[in-house]
Amino acid sequence: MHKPTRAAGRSTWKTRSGDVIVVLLVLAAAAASILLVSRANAGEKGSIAVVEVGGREVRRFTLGPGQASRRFTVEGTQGTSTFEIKDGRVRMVESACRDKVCIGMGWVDTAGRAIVCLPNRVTIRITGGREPGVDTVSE
Amino acid sequence: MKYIKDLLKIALITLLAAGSVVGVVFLSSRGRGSGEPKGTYHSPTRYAMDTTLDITIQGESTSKAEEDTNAACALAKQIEAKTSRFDPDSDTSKINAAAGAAPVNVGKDTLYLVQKALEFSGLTGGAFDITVAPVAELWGFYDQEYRVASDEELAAVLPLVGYRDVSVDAANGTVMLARTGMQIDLGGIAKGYAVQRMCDLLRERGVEHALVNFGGAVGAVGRRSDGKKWVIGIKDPRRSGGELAGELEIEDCYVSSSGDYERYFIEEGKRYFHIFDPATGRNPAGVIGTTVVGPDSTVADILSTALVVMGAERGMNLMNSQEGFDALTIDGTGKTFSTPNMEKKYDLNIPGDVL
Repeated sequence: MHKPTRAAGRSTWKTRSGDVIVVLLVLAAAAASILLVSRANAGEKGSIAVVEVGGREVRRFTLGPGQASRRFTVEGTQGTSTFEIKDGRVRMVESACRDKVCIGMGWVDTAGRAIVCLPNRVTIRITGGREPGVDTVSE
Repeated sequence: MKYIKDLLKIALITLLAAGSVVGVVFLSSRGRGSGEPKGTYHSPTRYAMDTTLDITIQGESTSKAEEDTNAACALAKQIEAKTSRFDPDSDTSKINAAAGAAPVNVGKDTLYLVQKALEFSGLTGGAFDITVAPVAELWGFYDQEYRVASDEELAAVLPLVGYRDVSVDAANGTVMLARTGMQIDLGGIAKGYAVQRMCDLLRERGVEHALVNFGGAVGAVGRRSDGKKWVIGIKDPRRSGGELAGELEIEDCYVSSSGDYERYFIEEGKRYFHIFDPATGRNPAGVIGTTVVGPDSTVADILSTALVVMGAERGMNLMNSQEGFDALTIDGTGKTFSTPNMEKKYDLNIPGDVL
């Protein structure tokens, strides 16, 4: 009397265990893929810094975490502007302009933000990237 | 038979799961937060009205976006040529040169701006006044030879300030200043007006998703092409470039900010900036940053300046009478005041302490 019941129970259980294993495998795969994707995103926190002089693009840099400090210069309408890129951020460090407002702007790192040197006609605008930023800033 | 059934079941589950994995990967790769949609065109920075002009267009081909941007910039330059006090051929320069002597024929843009300015001078009890120009000149804000004005110098200049002495003849299209030495400056509102006109032009040209930023006066055409609202950062008046006081989410409207951080000089540890109380000829104290949102860019620009002069309490009272416009003010201690809609409608988010 008991045998057929047990056999039937076992058969049902077997199927379910297979399902469970598959579901677990799939969940693991999904988790792994999310991890991989988010790591890839972190790698390209990666916005781009676009440097323009008088509205003409002169240089373009990818910004990312862990970057060693590098300095670059561009020639504006009044003289040289020197900026520094470090660890995914950028700032103006020297400028030929009078009021040095651009240097006072400090570090910028996320999309939608910019360093502007009005007198020297130099802008460094952050664009792109997956970092949630703003579309623009009202100053 | 049962074996095949089981296999089918497993295959189905695997397929569904694989689909969800692909979905996860796809969604994450499309970016999150405000990551910008594909096909976003950023214009190169243009220069007009002594500030920067940046235009973002989405949902258009690059060549169309470039044409749209060029048309918008040409319009801004045209408005600048009519209104700039630094252009000797502008309406503004002609009005100033003929002060106390004769009415001057002006273009439509100038007429509109002078009328709007006078209307808001009345509404703000004179806190907003385009005739404050001789004061700004005295403090060196026009030639960038900044200096602290003395009481005697201010006493000599203040009689030249007064919006009631500006007369407009709309029928004949003329403007006249009553007394010799009076001067107007439309610089405080021409940017906002130009943003309005540029956004209207972009709409006429069929652009559905655009953002115009003209020296901090921002105009939004529609929403972003991904259906999200545009996210506008509000600069923290004291922190450096990267730091924001807050963020606003907007569609089809205008944002203007003013404050003591835009143009200023510091002498003996004291900050002097470009906005003056027309009654005293000195900087107003209290509010150091304002942001106004609303359906008209010229009005938003006027109100953002007026709120700096009026202070938080009077300013918020004024805002109650301005249907459709909302505002945020930040005072020198970092305290913020805002109209209820700033949070409800625009999702104003102030992440932490301001200043």
